[in-house]
Amino acid sequence: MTRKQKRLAGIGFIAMVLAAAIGLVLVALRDEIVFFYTPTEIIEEKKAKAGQRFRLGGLVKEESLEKQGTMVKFVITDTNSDLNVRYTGILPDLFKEGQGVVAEGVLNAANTFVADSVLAKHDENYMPKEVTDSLKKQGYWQKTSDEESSSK
Amino acid sequence: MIVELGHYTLVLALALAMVQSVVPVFGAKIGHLGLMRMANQTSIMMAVLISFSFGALTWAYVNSDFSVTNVWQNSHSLQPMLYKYSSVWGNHEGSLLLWVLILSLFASMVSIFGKNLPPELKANVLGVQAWILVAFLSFVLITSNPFERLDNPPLEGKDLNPILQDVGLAIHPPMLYIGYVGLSITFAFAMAALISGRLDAAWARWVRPWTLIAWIFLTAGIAMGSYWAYYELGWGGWWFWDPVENASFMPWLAATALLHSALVMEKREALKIWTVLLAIVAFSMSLLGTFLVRSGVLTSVHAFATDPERGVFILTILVLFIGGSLTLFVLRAGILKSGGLFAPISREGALVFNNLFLTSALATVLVGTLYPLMLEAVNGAKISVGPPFFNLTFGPLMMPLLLAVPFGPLLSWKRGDLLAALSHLYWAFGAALLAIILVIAFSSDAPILAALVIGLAFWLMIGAFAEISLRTDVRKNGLAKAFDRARGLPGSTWGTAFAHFGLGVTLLGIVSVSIFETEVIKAMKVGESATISGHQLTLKGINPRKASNYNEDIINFEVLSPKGEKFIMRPAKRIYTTRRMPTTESAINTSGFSQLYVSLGEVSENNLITVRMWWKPQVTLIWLGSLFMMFGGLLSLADRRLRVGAPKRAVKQAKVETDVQVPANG
Amino acid sequence: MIFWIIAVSVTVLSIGIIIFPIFGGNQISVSTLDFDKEIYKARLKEIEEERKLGSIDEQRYQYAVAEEGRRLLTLADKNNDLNSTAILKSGKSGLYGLIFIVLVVPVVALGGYSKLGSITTPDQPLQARLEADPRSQSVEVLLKRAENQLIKNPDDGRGWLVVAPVYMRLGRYQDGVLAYRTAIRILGATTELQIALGEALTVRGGGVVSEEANELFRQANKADPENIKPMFFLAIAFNQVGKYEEAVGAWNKLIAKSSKNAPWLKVARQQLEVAKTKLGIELPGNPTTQDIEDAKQLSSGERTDFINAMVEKLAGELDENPQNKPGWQRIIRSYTVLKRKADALAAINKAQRLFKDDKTFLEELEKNKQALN
Repeated sequence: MTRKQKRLAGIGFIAMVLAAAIGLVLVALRDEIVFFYTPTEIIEEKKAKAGQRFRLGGLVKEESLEKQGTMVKFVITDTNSDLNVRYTGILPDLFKEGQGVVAEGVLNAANTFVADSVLAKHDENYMPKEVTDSLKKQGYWQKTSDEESSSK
Repeated sequence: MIVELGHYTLVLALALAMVQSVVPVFGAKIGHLGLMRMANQTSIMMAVLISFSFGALTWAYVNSDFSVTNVWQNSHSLQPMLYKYSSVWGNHEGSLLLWVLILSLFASMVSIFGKNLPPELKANVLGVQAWILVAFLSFVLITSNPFERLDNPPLEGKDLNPILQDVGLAIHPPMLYIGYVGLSITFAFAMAALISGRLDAAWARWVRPWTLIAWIFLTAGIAMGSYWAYYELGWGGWWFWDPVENASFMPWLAATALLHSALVMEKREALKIWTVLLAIVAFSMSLLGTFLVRSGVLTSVHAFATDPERGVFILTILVLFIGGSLTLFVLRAGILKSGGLFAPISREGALVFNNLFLTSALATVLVGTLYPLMLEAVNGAKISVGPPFFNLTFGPLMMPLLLAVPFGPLLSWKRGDLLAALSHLYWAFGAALLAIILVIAFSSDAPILAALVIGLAFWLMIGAFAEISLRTDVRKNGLAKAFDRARGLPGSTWGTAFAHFGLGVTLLGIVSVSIFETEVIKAMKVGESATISGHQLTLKGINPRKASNYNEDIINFEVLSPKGEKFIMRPAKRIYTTRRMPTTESAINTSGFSQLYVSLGEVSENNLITVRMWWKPQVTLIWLGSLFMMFGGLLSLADRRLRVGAPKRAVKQAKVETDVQVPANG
Repeated sequence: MIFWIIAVSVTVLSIGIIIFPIFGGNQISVSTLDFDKEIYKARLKEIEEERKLGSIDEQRYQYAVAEEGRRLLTLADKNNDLNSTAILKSGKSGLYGLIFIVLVVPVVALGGYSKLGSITTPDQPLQARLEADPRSQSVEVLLKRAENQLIKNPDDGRGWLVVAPVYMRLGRYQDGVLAYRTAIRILGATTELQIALGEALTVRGGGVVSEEANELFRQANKADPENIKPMFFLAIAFNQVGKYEEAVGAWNKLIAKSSKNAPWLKVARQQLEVAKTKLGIELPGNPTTQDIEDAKQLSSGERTDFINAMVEKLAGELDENPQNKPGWQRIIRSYTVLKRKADALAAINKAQRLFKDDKTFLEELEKNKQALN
């Protein structure tokens, strides 16, 4: 090979690797990202089909928590719509009824959300961002913060 | 008054930084020696002032001075002393002050140890460091001032977030920051080269050790953070591809690439422009990392809206430094002469290969981390990019790189011989093959891919020492002489071997725990037992205990291991009294490289406890590997060849000066 | 003043240290290339050493030496070229640098600090605050000191007895209840403690005598039938649960045993009236729907009376010790509920003045005010 050919081969190789990287990213962005929905978006707007993986966020409905051995059932609500959630495993320390929560999992045919991970409010200053946003949209956020201040 | 003096010295440091960012650079431009040299004293003075300031804040924390807002918000008088100290950087304001402190200490180290640097280069480097200091000090003072005071201080603080009250997390941020800030030095060197349009030979000699220091600390910081997440969060995971983790991983990838390209530059004066670019990229990733974690932008883009002052400031700093340095690069890179030629199959070629894959991998992580933010900013859609994304993009890009690692050190500079290199790797190849066959034979349920990756890990571990075996050659030289030779090998050769070995060890740990891990979840009462991977766990009882700032219920498990040993494991549920925040302390028992991990769910009224148990085979290898990498880095750093004396003439001149001290216009 | 002396000296010292090197050098000529040469030479030496150790083969050695040699030669070429030899000088420009430094540093440092700093705020380490002269200290500080003692020595029952009434006075009712409970656990239940705990529970419950408090008062009453306090609360409890017959009896007994100008007589008479009226309606025959409606209204009136009594007590407490945030919150809420708008507004105004540094509380007060209007 002449020097020029070598150089071309080198550039070709680099271009190949970069193309592969870009290709992988594009495929992964199409298939491997997880959308975030609220119960309303699932129940009323039917944004996700059964079997699709997504994150569900909202508040844990009061008095909805039910334990059966290591399996727990509860309801995630955005005060407009409710969705039943099933989860096997250990709930985070800060999981509480009436508190913000984000669950990731799959909707089954019976419209129950089967979660494989559950994240709870992190500390008093932090709430999963999706939850605050969607609650704000529902006009509920203001209400909760008022309650907080008046109960002090 | 101590607190206010600390505040004042911080402002004074800003004033000095402003001077420092103009005067030495101007001096270098016009060739005025005195104006260049004042940078030395100024950077040391700044380090002293900022140290005092940091000390004053620490004093306030240790003595629970709640008239300092920052102290009141993040500590409690009953915290154990260690956490009073770590509270200093366990919050936004204090951690930025720590960042600034490390930056100033590094700058003063450049001025102390930089006797062999040409004065112009040194002046420019210290000048650029001062730019960064000015930006960060103003950010701290204007938007995130840790010295804000309260007029009527409360008698008790609000306590540090309980999950941060942990030894691992007390040391983790300083480690990571030393790593981040270490990269600012290479950045400053790159900028200095672009400003003066000249890459001195000292440049490459300096860039590599500093990158090494940064890299060692980044490795330590990331490994520690990962182990902390593993045992403290109680999820048993060691890496989540969480944006916060990615924020520290990206500078690491860039630093690793820089480490390798700096080698080419130092030895062969090739890849100069690329190295300069990498130095810029690496520090940009540090800045991004610092701000991604600290600005709250990861929680939501809206964090910017709720605190616009900070948000705008951060954006400005990022744009100024990343944008500005890249612009300067585009304008000036052409002036730097590129150096030696090399064949594709050569040590240089291998290092280019390394850089190509590392930077591509870095780019995918960057896209995965920022894409959700950008999408949300553009159309409000909320997505999360999790492990599946990174497994699909980062994973495949790493495989060819790891495969190529053992070849690199065996190829000679300029023109290498792949076949000859391969012939020195037959041991490694054999070991890998054997590992693959054994895994397939003895573990029916392991996927083929897992077996192949385990083979790859052995290929890396054994192959890492091929260069040393080649260069000592026991068979030809006999043991004694080979030993002598091994001792005589440069530190960087040993360093490379250990670092690459560590990579293999970590990889082995990762595969083994992802494939062979077992998990059992069971609701248990006192007296009941559960079995996991041959271990029998019996719940013996619940002991309540009071500590200074929390109460806990310790759950005692008696464990019978498959080998018949008996031991007790004590996971616990804690409630921190001030924040009324519950946490779970998991219990871990290590045997060999493997760990038994017990975490707890809620304790219900009838004392039914949900217990989650994992058997994690070879999991400790993940962090053990990082220890090997750090050790390799240290060996490399200790390499005597990295030290160079200053030119005789300049030294003499400096001595004359201190003796005479005649004012020029006097 | 001392602060400014130190600050100015530090500033002057810093300026001195950094301007010192500006005029420290003679005019010298240093070629930056010399630094490069030094490095190439060092590298040549290393290559030799490696060869001696035998860790690099002959061919590599030749390559490496040739390369370094070539670099040294290029340097020599450059050295002849005058342009690449930087002449480093000192001179006039140093003066500009000096002026710049002397102007910028004090202006930024002193100016910046006087804008940002709070020079009037002294250091206030917790220990020192707690150890200061007790006579000059607020109740909160004294309480904190007692608390710290209790943390060190949690089995000190008398200590708990000391802090409990302070908690109650400061409106920290929950802590008060806890303190009394702990004291009882350690010292054993005496009539006095039972009464105190019962009272604390009642205050915490906003005036409602809970089951637990009721039981405590009953025990206290049994042990010491002459003590007025348990009688008072038991009577109130009868009113609250609607046992008016017993209530009337209890109030009468209480009034009989009280001295003529006892402060609780007013409330007792009021409550007695309430119970009597109530009894008068409920006694005859079957109650009509109208009766039930009336009863409801009456019982709410009775509640109002009770709240009024509590509010007066609270108002008195607040006069004594105004630094009681929960107390103000409670009294404002009570006035609002009782529709005593003027009193509510007055209380809000007073609280606003008292807590002018507490932003969140001020916002809350503002909201309360708007709700009233």
